[in-house]
Amino acid sequence: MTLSVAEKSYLYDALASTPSIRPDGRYPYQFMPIEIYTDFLPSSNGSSRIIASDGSECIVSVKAKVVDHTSDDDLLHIEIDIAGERDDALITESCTSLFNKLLKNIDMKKLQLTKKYSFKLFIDVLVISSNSNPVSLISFGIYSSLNSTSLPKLVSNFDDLEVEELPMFHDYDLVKLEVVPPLVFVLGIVKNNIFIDPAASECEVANNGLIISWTNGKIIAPIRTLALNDTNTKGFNPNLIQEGIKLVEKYASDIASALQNI
Amino acid sequence: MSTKVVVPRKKRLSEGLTVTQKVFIRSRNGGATKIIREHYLRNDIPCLSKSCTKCQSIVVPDAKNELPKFILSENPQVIANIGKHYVVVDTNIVLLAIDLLENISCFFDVIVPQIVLDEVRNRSYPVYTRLRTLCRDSDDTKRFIVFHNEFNEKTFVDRLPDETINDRNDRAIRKTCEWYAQHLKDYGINIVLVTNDRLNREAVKKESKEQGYFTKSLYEYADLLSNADEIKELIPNVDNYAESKELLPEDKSEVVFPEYYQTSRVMGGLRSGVLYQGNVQISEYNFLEGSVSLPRFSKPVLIVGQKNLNRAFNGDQVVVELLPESEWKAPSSLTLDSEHFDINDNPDGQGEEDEFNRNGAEAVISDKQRRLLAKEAINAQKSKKVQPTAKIVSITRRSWRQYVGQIAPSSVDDKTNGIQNVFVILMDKCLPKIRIRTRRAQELLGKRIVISVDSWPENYKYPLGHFVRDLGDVESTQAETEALLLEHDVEYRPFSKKVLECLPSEGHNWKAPVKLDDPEEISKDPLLPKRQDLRDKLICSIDPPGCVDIDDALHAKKLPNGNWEVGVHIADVTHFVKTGTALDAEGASRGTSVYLVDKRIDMLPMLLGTDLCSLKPYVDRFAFSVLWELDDNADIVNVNFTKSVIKSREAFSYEQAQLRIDDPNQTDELTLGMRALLQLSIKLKQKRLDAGALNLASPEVKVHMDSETADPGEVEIKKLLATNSLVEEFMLLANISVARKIYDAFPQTAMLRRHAASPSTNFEVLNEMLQKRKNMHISLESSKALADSLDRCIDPEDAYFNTLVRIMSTRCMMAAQYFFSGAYSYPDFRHYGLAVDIYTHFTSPIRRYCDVVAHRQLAGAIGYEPLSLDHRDKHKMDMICRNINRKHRNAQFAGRASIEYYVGQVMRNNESIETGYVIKVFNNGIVVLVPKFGVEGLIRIENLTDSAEDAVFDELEFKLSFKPKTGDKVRDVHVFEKVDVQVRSVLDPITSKRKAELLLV
Repeated sequence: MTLSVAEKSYLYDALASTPSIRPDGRYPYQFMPIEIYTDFLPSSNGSSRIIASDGSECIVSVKAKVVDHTSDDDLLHIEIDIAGERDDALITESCTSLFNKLLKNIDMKKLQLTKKYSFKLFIDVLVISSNSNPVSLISFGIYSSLNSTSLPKLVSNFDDLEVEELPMFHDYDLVKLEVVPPLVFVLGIVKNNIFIDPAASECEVANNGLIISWTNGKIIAPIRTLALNDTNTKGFNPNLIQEGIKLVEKYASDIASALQNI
Repeated sequence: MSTKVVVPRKKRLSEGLTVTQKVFIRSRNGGATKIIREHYLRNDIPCLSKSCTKCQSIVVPDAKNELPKFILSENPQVIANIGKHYVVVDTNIVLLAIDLLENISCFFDVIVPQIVLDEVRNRSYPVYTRLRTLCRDSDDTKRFIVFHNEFNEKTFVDRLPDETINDRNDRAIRKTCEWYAQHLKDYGINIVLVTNDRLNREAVKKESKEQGYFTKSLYEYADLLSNADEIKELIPNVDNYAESKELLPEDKSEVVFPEYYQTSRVMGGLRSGVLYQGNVQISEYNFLEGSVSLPRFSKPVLIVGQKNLNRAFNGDQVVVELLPESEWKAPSSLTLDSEHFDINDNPDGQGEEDEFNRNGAEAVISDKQRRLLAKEAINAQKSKKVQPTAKIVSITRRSWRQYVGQIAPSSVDDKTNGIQNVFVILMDKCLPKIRIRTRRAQELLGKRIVISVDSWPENYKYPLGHFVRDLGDVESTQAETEALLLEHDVEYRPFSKKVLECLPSEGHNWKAPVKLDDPEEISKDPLLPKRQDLRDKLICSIDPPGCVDIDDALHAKKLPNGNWEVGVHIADVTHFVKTGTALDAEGASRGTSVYLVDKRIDMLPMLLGTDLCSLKPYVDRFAFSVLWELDDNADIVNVNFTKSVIKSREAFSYEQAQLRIDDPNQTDELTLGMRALLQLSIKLKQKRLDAGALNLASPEVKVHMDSETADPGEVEIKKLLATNSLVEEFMLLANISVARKIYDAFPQTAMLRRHAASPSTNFEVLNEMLQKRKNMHISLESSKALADSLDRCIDPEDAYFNTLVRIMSTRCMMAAQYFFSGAYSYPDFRHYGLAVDIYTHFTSPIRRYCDVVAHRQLAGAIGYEPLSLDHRDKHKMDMICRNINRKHRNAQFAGRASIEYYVGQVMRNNESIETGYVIKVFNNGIVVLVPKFGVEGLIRIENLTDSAEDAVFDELEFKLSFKPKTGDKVRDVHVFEKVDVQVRSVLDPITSKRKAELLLV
């Protein structure tokens, strides 16, 4: 999105004023409306499709495979594909590494089947279109797809370390996977104001951006700054970090429970 | 953990077609795959009742553009309280009572829901094929239909959350019944759901008061029939037990057998190499000892005792686990058979439990320790005596079939006339006795009966079965013949109409065309011009006297260059038996003709075997000819194969041929040709023996041996004439030439026959006995060495000894087998007995299916006609080979059993004292072979001495010492010893089997 100098200046001033005025009239803590569909891919174990009102869209699929966790302890594998970006593009790689780190926060015990075998989850993310930074959208997609994931039900014994058994599964029953995946929030900073989920136009004029991760009521690492544009990026008051964290802490659990209720 | 079910969406595709999804998990090799199938529902599936007027309008033609046939009668059977009715069966009824469903005096109009058919297929394929046959062959008396409830919009049901699949399927069946009841209400036809599942029956009552259909257990249903008593007798046992259990709680007993392992453990164990899978083979001499051949071990692993055998039947595919080293032992030198074991067991009670009371709570042995144990075991097998033992932990596939046996008189209570439990002792002495419930115990005493095994719960000492049918009195020829055919799985029913329809319509009037270039004939058989006219050759056949299925004929002619033209002409069976026909399928499934003493069970219908294919003299016949040019030394100069038409000049018996050859006055061309054949055959034989072919045929024995498989064939006294070997040599030559040709043309799928060298372990015991007793040795380096060392095994004082050794070594050898060339590498094609590198069977297509395949392949190889895909597909060839190997073996066993029976009958009236040889020594008996009758028998210690406890068995010396009944001096009996035995035929009082009983004199 290319804005003229006048537009930019108008937008900047509006966002920088107290209280800030966002072009679409949102509160600082308010998200764009999103639509989420889950379980729309019948052959994967869990899936979700998420569409933001600005046309950004992302689909996530979760597939499971039984692995011997004594030899392969990497039980989550994430692949992110952003339409229009190369596999080795900076944005793709930084997203992938961000989520690989973040998903370490998931309790891997939930994936354990027996003393020897676990499920390994393969999370495939495809960002079909994105108008602003997609990490938040991706994290919601992962959250809702993991939430809708159901895995085959083990019917054989748990203890198979000494006397080896091959896991056997129920023919029809599936068990809901109960994990709490982290959420990632993108915040935009304009002068001394900070607001959640910057839209494309807001990104264009933002002085800086913040990525804040959250799980289970707590802010977790990583917290990162993020340049939202190439022209307007400046330093910002460190207090804003505190403010941003507070903002996330305050509203994240509402968002999580909204996603949970799908 | 909360389980969840993805509720499938339904989507209407068009009028009458809806799509939904089926989701299930496939566990394989530890992995779990989620599988999604689209499932289409339609509204045009008819009820197939002739009385229905609605369904006629909804039916649509199938892919062949045929409309479905309405089968169920508009006037079905009327039974008490219910009236006109159709029966719906559930899966368990089909599995349990398939015999009853096939019975022509009950179950007339039956609806088989598709879900039942599917479940039956998954549980038991043989039963499935029988059910399919029933549905296919619906006629005036029995009308079976399959209703595709799963694809019918109105009867399809989704699985509910937390519902087991069995419950869902039961519900689907109930839904089907409900639909039928609704659908047929207007026509006055009721629906009876026959199910033995009490919960299912209760569910019917609960679901709706006005369900509109009836539900009965099999027993209740049978009770409603007019011929209830007759039918109730045939109801399988498990069902009765289930019913009676409610009545007799004291019948429940403690668990006696160890439980089988779970599939997950079995799969895991097999993968990590601590459990092993193989077929269990129960020892012929001791039914409580079995062995399993496992690829990892050089020798079979022993399984000793009832508890370790854990309900396995002879031939079951089982999974075994090694026992700890402390329980390894030598194979028992005891003989035990089920007939005489625990004869006083009460079929109502559970017998003593001492054997099972060893505490089952063993310490857990880890897989790592087990792997070490396996290494120990392999070492132990190499170093003698103590053998690793194992226990059966799971049974992968049961070998259960119908068995022939008779009721044990001691188990019958003659005071009651009601239902009672009795034991049935099976003909196969490797199997345990079967417990059946019958009302007709007394009536069936002394009859051969067919029973079927239903189950073997872990708290029963003996398996449960039910009576199927009665073959007739014990010892009546008909019952005995049928029994042995059944026991050896020989198909003896007459050929079906479909098969007979494949025969040429001219029947016995079929004639080979007079002229091969007659256009009219060519229009009928376009391949005719490719046949060679050999009717000018002086061909004759030489066979046993009275032979009607003449497979082969020969001729020889001197060529101008001094060489010989020799032809072997084989009946052209494949001209009549084309691939893909019902006739071919029947031949393939029978695999071989079976020769009993008084009867021949043909592989192909009589019309072909004894007339159209048979190379009868004086008439034109189609043949497949192998023509060689042989030099004077019988070396092949040239070989040629062709389909031909021939005219045999004469059919000789071996003796007639011999006489003609020997008669110096006969100087006609035919005789000259026969003499030439004889000379050439002698040279061929010598060459074969020089190459190391085994000569296991021994004319002195009354057991004629098949020179190729070295199996004893016939007991009759048979003098071998030179002409026997004349025919044989040329047949071998033809087989070898054909084998080379088809292997060349079809390197992956050629139908061949191999005979593996016997592993030295097979000969261990025999060699040890020879070494110890006679200071002789059989070498096994090559077939030549073996043949030579057998020649050296001569006892100057006993001419028979050499034959005895030959018989015993034959038993140590591997059996020859059919295979397709892709299954082994070329060096393994070798036929050890014949000492040739490649071999097949080509010369008896009338009575062996292998030859039929070889004919087709040869026809393909010479460009006569393209080879059918069936014989170019490795997988299909594998199926064919497996089947004919099995059938071939069964046919041999059946033949031997028939001889055994007849020998028993012959001896019935003449007791005599004969010379016998001790061939095996046990702890509690000796096995003696009587050459004169070709019988062998076990003499139990009880029959040798009065004080069985005092007998001493010396394992190293192969010696049994005991005090004879007459006399005080201790007598030693060694293996190979020549003994006089009294031979008489006795009827075993328990098994009512007649066999030769031997008594030491």
